[in-house]
Amino acid sequence: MKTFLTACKLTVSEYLSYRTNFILWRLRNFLYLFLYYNFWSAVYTYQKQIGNYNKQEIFFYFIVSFFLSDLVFSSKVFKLAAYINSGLLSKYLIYPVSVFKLVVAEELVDKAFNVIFSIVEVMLFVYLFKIQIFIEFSFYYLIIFLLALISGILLYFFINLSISLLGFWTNSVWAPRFISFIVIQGFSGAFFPLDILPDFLYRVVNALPFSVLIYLPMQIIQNKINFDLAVTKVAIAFVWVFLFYALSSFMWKKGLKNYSAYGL
Amino acid sequence: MIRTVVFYLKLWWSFAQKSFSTSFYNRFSSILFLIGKLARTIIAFTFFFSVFSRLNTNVNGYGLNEIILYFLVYNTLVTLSEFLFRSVFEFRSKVISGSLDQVLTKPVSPLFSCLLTGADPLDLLVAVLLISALAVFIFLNFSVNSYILLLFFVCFILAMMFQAAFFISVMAFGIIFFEVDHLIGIYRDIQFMAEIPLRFYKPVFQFILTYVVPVGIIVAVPVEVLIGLFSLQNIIVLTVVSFFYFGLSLLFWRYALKKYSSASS
Amino acid sequence: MTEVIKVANLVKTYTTYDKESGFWGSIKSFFYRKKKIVEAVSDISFEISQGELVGFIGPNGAGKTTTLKCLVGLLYPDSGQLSVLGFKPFERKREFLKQIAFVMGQKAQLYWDLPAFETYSLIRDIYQLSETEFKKNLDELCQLLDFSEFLNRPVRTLSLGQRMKAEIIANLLYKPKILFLDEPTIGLDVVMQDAIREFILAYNKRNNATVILTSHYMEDIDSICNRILMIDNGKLIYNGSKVDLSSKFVTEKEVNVKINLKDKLNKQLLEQFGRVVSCDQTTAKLMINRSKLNGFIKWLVDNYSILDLDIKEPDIKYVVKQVFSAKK
Repeated sequence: MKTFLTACKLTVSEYLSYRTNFILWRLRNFLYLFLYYNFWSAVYTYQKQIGNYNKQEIFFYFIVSFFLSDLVFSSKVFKLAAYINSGLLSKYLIYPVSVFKLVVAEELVDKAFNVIFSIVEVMLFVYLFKIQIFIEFSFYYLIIFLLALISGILLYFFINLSISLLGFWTNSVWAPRFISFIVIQGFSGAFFPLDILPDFLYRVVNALPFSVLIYLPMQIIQNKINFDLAVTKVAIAFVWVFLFYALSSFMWKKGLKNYSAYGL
Repeated sequence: MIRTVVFYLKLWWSFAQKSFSTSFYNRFSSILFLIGKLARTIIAFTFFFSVFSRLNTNVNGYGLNEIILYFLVYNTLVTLSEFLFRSVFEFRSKVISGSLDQVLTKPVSPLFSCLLTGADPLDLLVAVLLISALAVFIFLNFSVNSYILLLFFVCFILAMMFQAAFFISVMAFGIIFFEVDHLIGIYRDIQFMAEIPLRFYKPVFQFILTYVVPVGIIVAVPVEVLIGLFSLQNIIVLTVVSFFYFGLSLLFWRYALKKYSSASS
Repeated sequence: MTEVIKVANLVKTYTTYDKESGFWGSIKSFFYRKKKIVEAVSDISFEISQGELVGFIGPNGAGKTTTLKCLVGLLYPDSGQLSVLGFKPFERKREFLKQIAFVMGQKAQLYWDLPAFETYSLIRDIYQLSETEFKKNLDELCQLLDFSEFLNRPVRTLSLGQRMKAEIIANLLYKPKILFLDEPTIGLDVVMQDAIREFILAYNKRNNATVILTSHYMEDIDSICNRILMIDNGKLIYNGSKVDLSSKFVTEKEVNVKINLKDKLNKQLLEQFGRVVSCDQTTAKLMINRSKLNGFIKWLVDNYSILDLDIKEPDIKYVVKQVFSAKK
């Protein structure tokens, strides 16, 4: 627990030591909200409805998905790839704390840090632009929503971890990361609700595990999915989580055997 | 003067060859990157198509065809910028590691070295595909003559000039504040707004995208030229804005270099 | 002998920020940081002629690299006059840059994935060398540095020493008149260090190039340079030949004694004359003050049968250590 607190303090100090970087980062986030507000307003100028969404619903979607994105997608796992490639991993392997625990700790701190600021940014934005956000749903929906969210966070974590662990076998992890970044975020529902896609494409994309990350929790919170279907999807999500967990476990063990601590 | 231009053209080609060779050496990553870039374009297209396919009125002269044209021109512009100015993305590490010093001791303009020496063949490939798609689409859906094409070409160059201005400013900013990535991120976010017709936006926002961060106008004017809906006023605005920001960026760059030379690393 | 470098009253300061430590310190530092002005170089003047081999010595932060960077045109001096090959370095004119080379140790300009040769052809284009000139220079450098077989291998497959050689070749392909070397042998193994030193001497002899070198390895300075510039806290505390360095700062001489096996040396007896660096039964090394030298020799001759007696100036390492530790 003590190590966790120290890790927290260190990460926060790290962020704050780059003043300009930090300010620009948060500015960018807030600006993102402003920009997409204008974007969607423009799109709806000549249309009243796109697919299942009217203007209000789309605003709701992009603001809440913005917050969820910060929660799900903020991650420091890729640092592991850099450690492996540079040989710095050796330093962490000798620590009395398991590397995995360190990675998880940093991840949680990063997400917490992001989420806190994200909430402030969203609230400020909603206040300034008078967006209507109200969420009302039953206790059971809340539970399934939280479960969906948790499965999304875990899924993204293990996918990222698997890709980072490719560092054991190749020096250029950046290429797979780039592709995964585009594909995952594109099909996660972070930028747009997946059901505005034409029917055939929608069914394909919905079947991919990435739709669980943002789109599924959004569907639940907007009451656009019936309860039983939601439960089934969340269950399938956890299966995906387990699959990627198994994959990263396997890669870690295999990779460590090959690891020759070179590079320094 | 001509000799200098020829020297730099030849030098650009030398650097481009090295950059191309590096990509070919790393076949695996290069192919993945290429797939990624194509995937990004295709996903974006699917999104825009889905959103606007139900646009049933020809509003302000803009139907689905015009929106696709916007999309193609925008992406060609952005991809060509990334092709030419790729080395800006490595700039931050140059400053931090001190490699910028090495650049400054060479008898080559530091601006050239930092901005134009990293031509990315993958972006070129994507750009070629986009240009082909653009050409085919224009030919099939719009009537153009050589005057229009020439005017389009000129406007496109002006648009690239503004892109250059932005990247130069980013590097200058990077020298002083050591921060480049988030700034580029912000620009990319704003730039994305220009992917749909400028006239769809509220007047205030249109103003911002024309004069404050001219990403809107640099896409809007070339497209308007192709559609045949252009106005002389808009072309003048584009010219003034591009030259203005370009000049400003050069001043900023010079200032940044001077500041760099006043601080010890 | 023509003066190629003229420095008069060079002053260079820079600002740094005081950051507080600890967690709360970092939060405080986010909002307010105290400015601190550091004088890196304060009023330095010297001149260097064509073909000289000059060494810059000084502790870390003394102002060596700052002075070097001013000479190369990377830093703009706060005040003073600087002239290198007749140019004002900061103006960074093409003609000026084509005649100098700045080798910065580890910072490589070579393309990582490509063979060194590719980078060299780029250098050829940048410096506008003719094909014959390029080939001739490349061959000469590869021969001197024993690098030919590595020309066509990707740089990332080369060892650190070979990369350093490759880096040096890249910097000398256009036959610069002045070489500025900042820590050129850092991190290299002993054999490679020797090779680089030999090379620099050979290059200087062949081309009458001026060499200005900073290094923390005294062996670099000792084997290459014949002139020393010593900087401490931004001030020039010595400007002269290597030979005169020790007599200016150090009043001792290094004495090595070897006596006949029959006798035995006594450390305590030796200590009355000077500082004993090492001592066993038959050999000893001492640092003896010049004034006591005569007395020591007389005593030695009177009491022992001498096999070997060697008196010399203390080496640079010792002198530099004395100078800089005395200041503390």
